[in-house]
Amino acid sequence: MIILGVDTSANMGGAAIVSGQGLVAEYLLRIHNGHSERIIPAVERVLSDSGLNLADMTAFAVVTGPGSFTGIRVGLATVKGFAYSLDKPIIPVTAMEALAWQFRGYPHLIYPIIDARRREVFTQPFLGGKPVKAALNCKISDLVAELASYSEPILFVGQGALDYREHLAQLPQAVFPAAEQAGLRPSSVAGLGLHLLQQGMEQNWYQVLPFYMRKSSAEYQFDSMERKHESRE
Amino acid sequence: MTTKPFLTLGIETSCDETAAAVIADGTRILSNVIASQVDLHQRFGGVVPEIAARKHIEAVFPVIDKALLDAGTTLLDVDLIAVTYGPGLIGALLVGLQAAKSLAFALDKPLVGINHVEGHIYANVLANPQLQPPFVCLTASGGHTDLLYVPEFGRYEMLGRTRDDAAGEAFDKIARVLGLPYPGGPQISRLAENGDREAISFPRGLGGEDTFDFSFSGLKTAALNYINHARQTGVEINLPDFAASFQWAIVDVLAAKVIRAAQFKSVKQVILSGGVAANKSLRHAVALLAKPLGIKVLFPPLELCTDNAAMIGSAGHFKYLAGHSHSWDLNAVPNLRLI
Repeated sequence: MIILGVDTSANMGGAAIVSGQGLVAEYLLRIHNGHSERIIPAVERVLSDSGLNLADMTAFAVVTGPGSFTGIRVGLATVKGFAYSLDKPIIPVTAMEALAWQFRGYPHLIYPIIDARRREVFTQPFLGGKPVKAALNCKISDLVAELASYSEPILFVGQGALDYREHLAQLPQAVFPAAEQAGLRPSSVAGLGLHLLQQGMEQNWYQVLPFYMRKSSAEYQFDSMERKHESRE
Repeated sequence: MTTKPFLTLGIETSCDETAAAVIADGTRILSNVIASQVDLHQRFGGVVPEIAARKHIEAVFPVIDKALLDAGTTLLDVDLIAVTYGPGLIGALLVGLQAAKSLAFALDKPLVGINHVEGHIYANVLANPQLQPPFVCLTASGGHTDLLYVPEFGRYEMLGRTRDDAAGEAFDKIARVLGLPYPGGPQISRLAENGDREAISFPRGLGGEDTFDFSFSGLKTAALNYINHARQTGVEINLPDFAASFQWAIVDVLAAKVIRAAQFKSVKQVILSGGVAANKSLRHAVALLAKPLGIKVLFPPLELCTDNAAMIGSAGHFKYLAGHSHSWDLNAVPNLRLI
């Protein structure tokens, strides 16, 4: 089995190939002008440098979110096109799952942190490779307050952990990876994809959906107007 | 033995329609699939970019799949993939563009990016395969009001464009204020059928001036003032008269300028494209002015006036034959210009 992993859900993103023997090739870049113009050239590069074709892949793993709405869609459109063209499965993973997989040897709680803007984050605690709770969207200050009473070490990972390090470092039990290791790597996406494929967790091109964890702001505004309207009636 | 036709898969997601089509030899429509999102945006009174993009990623591959199925072909038999890469909503454009690049890369097919406005011109090529330049083209829609001179396919000279709102945008905005459902253009047009276009005198933006540019913001303000004044004084608006007068203020200027442009360029053909080209009153007004001058007026059937991928496929075919193609780093350009 050999997996191509794609992540375009955050500023840092790229592609990697992972087989049963481990990492084959990886391309990771902090983008400035969107992922659309970089991701297929990145895929082309990891394939050609490792002497492989897209058709050699068993399946395609992709981050479905949460993260940049546009970035999520670029990643999905990329792997859906591959899967549709070559009749291969997709393995969807969340950014939190993939980050927890990246740091899976850690013996205590892991909190992947994804920036949700407006001083909010998306997060989900993992222990021993398994999620402890469902993914949630909360204020960074609320997360810090909630974890204050927890005494065991907590590893904060992901680019969001660096962005909100000042807040999270208020917790004496907070542990951080080295800055350049903190972000999600496409090889972790591919590696988790391989692991999940071995358990039969694959989907078709038409089944995979984005995992935004948030409505569009227009829907928020519209719904809150409706609620006000209803409460007046 | 018949030779296999050259098949182009066209993909279009620049606004609120997810569309895919298969075109044979640049002019024959084998399939033309459009998934409209109008219902989703209706409650907001206009297109919400993030909602449009979200719907596109759900719809784009099923729509492509249906286009191939309807055409009785498969992706393997497609010779070229053409996709709109601008102008339009960035998040919406990126979905179709990325889908197109991914398919083209996976199956090693050539890719060509198409300007949406140029696509609208090819709606006329699909409707009239014998069409040959030179001609003058008016593209009017919710996003554009462009007056172009086309000396030959692929070469364009911009004669004029809107300085503020697009013609279709003016229709939609006034319709929204009147509480008519989105999109407002067809609604106003329907109301206008029973109204008197001379009932209310609305301004003609840049109408008499020596320019091919357009302006609809003054008209919009005048129409809004008229509505507000009527509401404040408790006078009931005669909707058919209002709609007919408002529509005529737009159509009058569009028709006069496209004909004046044809005379200026000494061409005997004008073509209309874009959603506003579906407006019967506009078609009629242009035809009326053109006839005594011996100018031929062409417009596409209704289903090719609004956004579709057949026109993108056709444009792509001819662009590719002319030696154009794009690589995998093609990006979406929300304010892409034709020239």
